[in-house]
Amino acid sequence: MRNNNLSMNSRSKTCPLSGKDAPKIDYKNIKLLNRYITEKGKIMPSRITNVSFEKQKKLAQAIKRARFLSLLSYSEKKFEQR
Amino acid sequence: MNNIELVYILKPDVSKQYHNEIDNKMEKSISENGGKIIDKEIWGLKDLAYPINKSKKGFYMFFQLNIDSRNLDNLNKLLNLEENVMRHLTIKVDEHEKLPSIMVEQKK
Repeated sequence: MRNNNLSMNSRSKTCPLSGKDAPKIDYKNIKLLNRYITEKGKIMPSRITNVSFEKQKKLAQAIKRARFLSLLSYSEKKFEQR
Repeated sequence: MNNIELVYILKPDVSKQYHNEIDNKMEKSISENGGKIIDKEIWGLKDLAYPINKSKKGFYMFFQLNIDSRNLDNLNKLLNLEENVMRHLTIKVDEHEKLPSIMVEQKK
């Protein structure tokens, strides 16, 4: 029951990509995109990352563009990518 | 007129002469289609996240254009025909960002 409460709390957090000081979602900003992909290079669901619906769409688009340009891998997450 | 961002990746082992050549070709094609280059940036030789055509590196070029998006097909056709261009991407943006972009800043 305690655990249930915890997950409820984390769900009520606000979107990290909305608001005044939020970074702009861009296919060039790989450091940012890296935060929203899993170890296997999949796009993380917004229910885990708390990204709003609107921003999630933009994020997905940016990740796909970065993948096409070989800035991100399709199948794995690469750390310390410059 | 639309604001367009263009990125293309060249093969890593092409000569400097070819770089100039494709630059001229691009400029020509853009001005023929009634557009102009606002700014450009050289991201340089970078490691690819996955190999393309068996090469592990690529030479990235970035352009900010002002061109009618209906004329973009001609430009895409030109880049498609170039053998040494591995990938290219054109996207429409509302506003051009200020350079240098994140790509160059992170390099330093």
